[in-house]
Amino acid sequence: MQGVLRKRVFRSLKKHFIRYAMLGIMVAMGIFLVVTIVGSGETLTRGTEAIAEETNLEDGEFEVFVPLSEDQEKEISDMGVELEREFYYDYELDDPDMGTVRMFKVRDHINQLHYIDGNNPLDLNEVVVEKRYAEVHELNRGDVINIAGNDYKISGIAVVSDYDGPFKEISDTSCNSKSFGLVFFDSEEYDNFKNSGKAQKSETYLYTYKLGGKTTDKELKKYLKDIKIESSQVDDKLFQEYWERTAGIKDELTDAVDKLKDATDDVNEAVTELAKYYDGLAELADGTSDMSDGVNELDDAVTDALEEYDFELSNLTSFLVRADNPRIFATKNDKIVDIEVGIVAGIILLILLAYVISVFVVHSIESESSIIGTLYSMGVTKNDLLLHYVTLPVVVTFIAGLIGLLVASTGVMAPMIAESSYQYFSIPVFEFNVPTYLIFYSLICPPVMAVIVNVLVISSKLNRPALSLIRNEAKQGNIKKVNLKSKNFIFVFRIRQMLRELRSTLAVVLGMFLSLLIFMMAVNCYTLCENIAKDYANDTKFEYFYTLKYPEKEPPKGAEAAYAYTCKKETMGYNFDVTILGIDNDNKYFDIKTTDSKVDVVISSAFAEKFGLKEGEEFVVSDEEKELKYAFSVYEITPYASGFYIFMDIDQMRDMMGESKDYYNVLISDKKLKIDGGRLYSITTRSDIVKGSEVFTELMMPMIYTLSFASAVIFCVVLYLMMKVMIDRSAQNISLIKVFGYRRKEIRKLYLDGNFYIIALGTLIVLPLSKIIMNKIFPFMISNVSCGLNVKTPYMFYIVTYFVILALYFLINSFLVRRLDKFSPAEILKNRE
Amino acid sequence: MYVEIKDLKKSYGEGGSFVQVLKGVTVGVKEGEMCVIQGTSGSGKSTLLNCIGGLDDIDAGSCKIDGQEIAGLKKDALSEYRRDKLGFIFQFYNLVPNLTVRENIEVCRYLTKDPLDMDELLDTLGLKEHANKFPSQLSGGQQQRTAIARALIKNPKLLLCDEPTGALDSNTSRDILILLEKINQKYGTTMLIVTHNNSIKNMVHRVIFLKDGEIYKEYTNEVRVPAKELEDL
Repeated sequence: MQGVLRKRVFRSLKKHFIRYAMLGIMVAMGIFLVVTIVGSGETLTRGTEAIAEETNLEDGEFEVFVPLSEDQEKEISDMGVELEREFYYDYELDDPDMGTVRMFKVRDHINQLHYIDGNNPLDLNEVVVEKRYAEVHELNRGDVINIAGNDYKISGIAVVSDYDGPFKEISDTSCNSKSFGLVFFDSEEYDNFKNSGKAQKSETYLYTYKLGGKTTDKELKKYLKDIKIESSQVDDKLFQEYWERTAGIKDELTDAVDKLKDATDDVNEAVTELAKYYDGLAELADGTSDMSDGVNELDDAVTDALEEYDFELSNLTSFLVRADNPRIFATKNDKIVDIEVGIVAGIILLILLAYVISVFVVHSIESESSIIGTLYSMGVTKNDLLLHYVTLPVVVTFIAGLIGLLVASTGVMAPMIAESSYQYFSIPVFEFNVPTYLIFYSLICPPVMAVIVNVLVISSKLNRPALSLIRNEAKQGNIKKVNLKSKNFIFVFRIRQMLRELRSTLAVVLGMFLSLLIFMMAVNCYTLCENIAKDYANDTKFEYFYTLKYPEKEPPKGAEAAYAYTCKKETMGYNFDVTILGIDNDNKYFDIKTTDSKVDVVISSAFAEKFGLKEGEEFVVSDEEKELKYAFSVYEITPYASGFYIFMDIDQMRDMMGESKDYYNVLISDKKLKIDGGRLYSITTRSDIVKGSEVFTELMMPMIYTLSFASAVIFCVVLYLMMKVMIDRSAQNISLIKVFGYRRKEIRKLYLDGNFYIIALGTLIVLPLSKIIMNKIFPFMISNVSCGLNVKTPYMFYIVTYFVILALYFLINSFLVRRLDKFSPAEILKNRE
Repeated sequence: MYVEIKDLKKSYGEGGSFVQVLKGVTVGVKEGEMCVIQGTSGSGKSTLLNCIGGLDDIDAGSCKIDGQEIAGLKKDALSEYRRDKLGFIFQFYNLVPNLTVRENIEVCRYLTKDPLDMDELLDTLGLKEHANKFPSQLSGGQQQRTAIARALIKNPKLLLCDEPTGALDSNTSRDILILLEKINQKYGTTMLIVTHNNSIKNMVHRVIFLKDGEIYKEYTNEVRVPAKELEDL
């Protein structure tokens, strides 16, 4: 029987070709977008994973004060750990437009270079430049770059997996290849530079490692932490000076007490001797003896006290495992959200479209009610017909899915989707590939969704008794029988029509909701990026933010001293850096009143938004270095978007961290300060922050355009199809009232204009609702992004969107009004066949 | 008896809208008989047909078809019963509009393992030359013949006809009745025909009159008038 009915399926498809073609195009477009967006994400993810494998990506890295000795390196090697020195210098180029370059040797084993163009430096005057920096500065192989007064020919353009996201500092929220890039020297030339005395900062002793399976990260870290060094071993004058001033105080104190002890012993001895010759000095001798005893006690007490404090210096300054390194797999982490959102959004879209199709099927079932009843009376079963009625949705959605997959597989739009990643991350251009699971997704999900939704929706329609179907008895739900008291005929008629078409109305509202949800995703992406750019510019009052390695005793004039300490806090599976910033209450760069408490702190709005913290709430941050946890209570949330900050009084913080009363490690200034480069960890300028924030908008624009376009298409198609089916279902009634003498305008009023109220009212509800829901979902979508969640949208946006929706409705309505003319008054007189 | 009905009761509605449509009908039809059920509107004739056809539940009493009790059968069992034993013809033809005549008939052909020969049936019903036409290309009589063919293709032992000529003109009605007569003779199909048409009673073996849900009168025609000779159709 299905064989015969199948013929009917294709005839129905032919008859309603435009309807099914539109739905098919929607499904195909949905699959096309999912495959393109998710496929691009997977292409980049798998591509960067392959490069990481190929270039032997590190398992982690660490920095030390003093390079490890050969023995220490051997011990680590004996632990089964492969180690590579990847020491570097940061060098600010003479041309201010060229920013800072990080100078490395070409790597031998770990984090090898993957060449986009060219090869290793074959000569001392050749360098390899990292891809993104080269692109931004329009550097190509064969060009010359001047570094520290020397011209270097670029022998190659390359990427390295440990700088997939070329963040200058681990704590940076965005990459800016305009101001930062990597260069790789021949080993000998690197040493030449090192010995030239041209370095602006001290060399960073960075080691990368591969664990090899015998040792864990934790074990390696413990081993490194236990390596103590003598301060004199550190080949850095600035460190020496700093150490002397801080930990060196121990020796001074011991020396002073020893001297005091010697002096009191001498005095006591002398006075005791003199007392033998002069009467009256016995009392003085007793006093000096007591004093000597007292000084001896002081000496013991000082010795005990110093033993309590750890003045030994660990060689390890930082330890970063691969998973905590935001530079590694930055592209992959960025794409996780795209992949998850793409898959889920695709399923939601398919459910909506399957529902729209089911409305058509229900329309068919209702109009074929007596035929179905007759077939039932002959013994045809419900399952036979169910199978028949779901065949067309399955065929249409399957073919559409296949088309969407095939078109997407050509990679026609993939470059546009991936472009923003290629313009941000330092990765090679990968050939677009569709993973196997997306092929199954594209071919299986559309028909499966069509089967599930249609079976659920039409099953009840086919459950009616044969007799009821033969008689074409309309099954009226209670809501459709609602008693309307109004005397206004048009109003009552419209309500009745609306209730009669409840299913189509529901599809319209659902379609509107889904399209607005997708639109709100785009809106949130856009407003977040815009707000970040705006807030960063507004909140950043300083021009320079210096993070110091070895601060001078006194902060320079014109600079505000602060104390920054980085901790970690986890949310949604991601571990973010949180900076505890100790500041003076009168700090002119932060309009913040801190408390005299170590617990009650002021936090930045970005921190509060990201971690969902409110005033009065308690929270904990982890100090992974010291393996401690700090508990705080939110005293106040201050509007500060550019980073996750906990602000507290600097004295309270010094006390909490066990630092001296004049300790600081940050200088904030509105002018450039003259600070020896060797003292610095980093300099963050206002311009860096503002430029970095603007990158987000550029990065997201292709996605924003795609989502906005998709949402508009979904809205228009669903609205058009559902309004059309409402009219078609009323064909007989429209013919009837034409027989009565109703004019076109009056018919439009009765059958079409009611939809205006659905759209107008529906939009009023759905527009803010979709924004609220998206605001709830959005944090999960950008769970890996280190920024606040300011997605506040101006009221004007809602008003404009509302009127755009109404304008789209009127446009669609104007197309459908013509359809009313198609129904002749003779329709009602025709036999039902 | 092929159809054995005893004290069959059927009602609709509750409270104020309660109507006892069949008030204990007892009737029997022999195998191969053509039987007409007549009565005024609301007498319960269509309800009786629907109960026999398993389209409507039976409140009380017994309804045996070919020895099988259908009262109390579940939905699936009723479906099987209709599939195996019944053919239905309605006043409105209820053909699938986008299937041809042949395809409309084929829909029911697959319901049985032992269908009648399609071409022979098309020939018998005069539909051979219309086999590839769609319902909209046929006259009312041709559509009804297609509906009859659809009902007969699975070779049912019992054919239930609810106003089979109700939507047809006099000449076409006669053609349909001739056809039913022919089928009865050729295939030995037992037929129950509900009709308002008074003339049809003369062509059948048995006539049952219903009034207010009860058997008012029933009799067997000693002499049957061939369908082609019926008047006032």
